[in-house]
Amino acid sequence: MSIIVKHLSFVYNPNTPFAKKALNDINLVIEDGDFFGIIGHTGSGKSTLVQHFNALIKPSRGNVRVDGMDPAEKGADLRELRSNVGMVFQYPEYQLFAETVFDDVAFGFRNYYKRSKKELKRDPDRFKAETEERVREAITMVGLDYEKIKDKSPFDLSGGQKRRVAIAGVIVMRPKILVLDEPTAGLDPRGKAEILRLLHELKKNYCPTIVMISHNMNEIASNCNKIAVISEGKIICVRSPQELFSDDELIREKGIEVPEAVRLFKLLRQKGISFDRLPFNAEEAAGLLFERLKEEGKYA
Amino acid sequence: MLRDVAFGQYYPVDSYVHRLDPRVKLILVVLFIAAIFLSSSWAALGACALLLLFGVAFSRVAVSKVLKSIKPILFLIIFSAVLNLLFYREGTPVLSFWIIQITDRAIRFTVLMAVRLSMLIMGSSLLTLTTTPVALTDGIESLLKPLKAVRFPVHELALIMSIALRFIPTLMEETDRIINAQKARGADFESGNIVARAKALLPILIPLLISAFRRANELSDAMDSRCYTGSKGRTKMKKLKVTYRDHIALFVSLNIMAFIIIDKVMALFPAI
Ligand SMILES: Nc1ncnc2c1ncn2[C@@H]1O[C@H](COP(=O)(O)OP(=O)(O)OP(=O)(O)O)[C@@H](O)[C@H]1O
Ligand SMILES: [Mg+2]
Repeated sequence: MSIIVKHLSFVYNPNTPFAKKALNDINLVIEDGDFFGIIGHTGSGKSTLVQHFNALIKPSRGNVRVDGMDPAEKGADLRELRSNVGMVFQYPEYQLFAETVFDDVAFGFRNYYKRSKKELKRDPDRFKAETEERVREAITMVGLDYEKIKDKSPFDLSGGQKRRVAIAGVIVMRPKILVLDEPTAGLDPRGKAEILRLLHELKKNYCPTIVMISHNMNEIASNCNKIAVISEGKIICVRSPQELFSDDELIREKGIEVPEAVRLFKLLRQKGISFDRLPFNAEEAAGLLFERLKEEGKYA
Repeated sequence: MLRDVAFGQYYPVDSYVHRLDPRVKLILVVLFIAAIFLSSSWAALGACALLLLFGVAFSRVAVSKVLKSIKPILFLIIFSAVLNLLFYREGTPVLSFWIIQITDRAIRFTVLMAVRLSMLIMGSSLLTLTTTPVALTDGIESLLKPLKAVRFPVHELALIMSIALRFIPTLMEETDRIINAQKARGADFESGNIVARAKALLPILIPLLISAFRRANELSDAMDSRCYTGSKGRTKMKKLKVTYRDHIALFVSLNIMAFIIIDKVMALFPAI
């Protein structure tokens, strides 16, 4: 399932003194199987852009096609679209509301299922069984113990657990594309790493396409295969991490932060030790250095 | 978007009226409302309208914006106009059919009331359009100061008001976000009967309430850790000051209002 954005512009509060052009002629293709990163300074329009992907916002100009369908068209099935494009907002744990974790996670599935109300009336037992199966699947998928947690109040969980429950509440709809707005914001390093590991699991086994907004360049560089840089409502470029972080001029011009490993390797280059590839995290950096040392025979 | 109906309708331009002292504006609005209800002749109403016109002209607020402020109470105006027209019985009938009788005085009274109500709303929205909520609470606090003599907690009241005002946009934003997040999970707020719709609001209201409490806690912690103790010995960053602008505005308005009062007195005692 792909997302194609063409000439998309969006204005908040049009025709008022508060009018704010948040997106300006965006063109973008997100292909099946991408782990797509979106970076940009605060207020650059990242969140506004992704909310177009499941028609929470309608374009002021241009269009968005998800799987060939334009959600802004009349008669588009928004519920279907929203179950296909799962959206995890920033700080999703603030949207928990139900009495139990089970009910909160089930919310999305039940809403989705409501469409076939007749079917539901005909066979309520099957609906119940199916709900349970899907909730179990989603909770297990985010790495929590279903039996232990299902009857707890979501408000009694730790921050990291809450976030997992919130993510489970989205993937319970079995989305084909998962969009996450700063999924690791506000978590400690371990929580961050766990969420990222979870995303890789999800991508491998569950929803093949992931779109992630993040301010953390280490995360973006080591996880995404494509990165879009957005600045003041415009797409500056879409590149692979290698291309993006090798482009010193662009990095300087747009004030893009670089991952720590990249910074280290650029310092090495200044000292005359250059590599044909950049590492994006500590393991990769260590790997490259190790190889080089072995090549030079300084390490047996 | 929810934000559109937000009541924080401050119109951000710089103008003569925007720069007036909020206390002066508050007093003028109160006087204006009193003047409107004192006016019973067309000349007096005309004077009120002139005052309003001055206000709008010197505020640089779009006229459409001021007119739109009537919209929420348009129904009320029309409803009361219909009642006035039908049930005001004095005067000579000009139109009568079936059981309905409309008199000349009824028409006059109906128009008078409708004009009064519209001007009242426009006048008071001009205040909120040209004064930031913060300035407004500052003004109210300052005007209520005499009540301190009877131990009325003026400062605390003002603080509550400004905190409430400060958090309205934040909560609006939060509501927007939560609505979107639940919509993304397939929530449907539009279909079903009243019960179903009310129930559909729970996934919005509960997170909103929780976050409001969270914010309240955070805010009180922040105030405590900055040693906030209330009004005693507090100074203000922006001191309210009455300037020549306020003098001019007061002078013009009071003259017009004097005219209205004289007009009223003359109507009551035609002998003078
Ligand atoms: N509901 C809204 N009403 C009006 N303006 C808005 C609204 N939401 C966002 N904006 C404005 O649109 C612009 C883009 O906002 P957006 O939230 O998309 O930025 P962002 O890139 O996600 O930033 P961040 O990294 O801080 O999350 C900003 O200038 C913001 O002030
Ligand atoms: Mg954002």
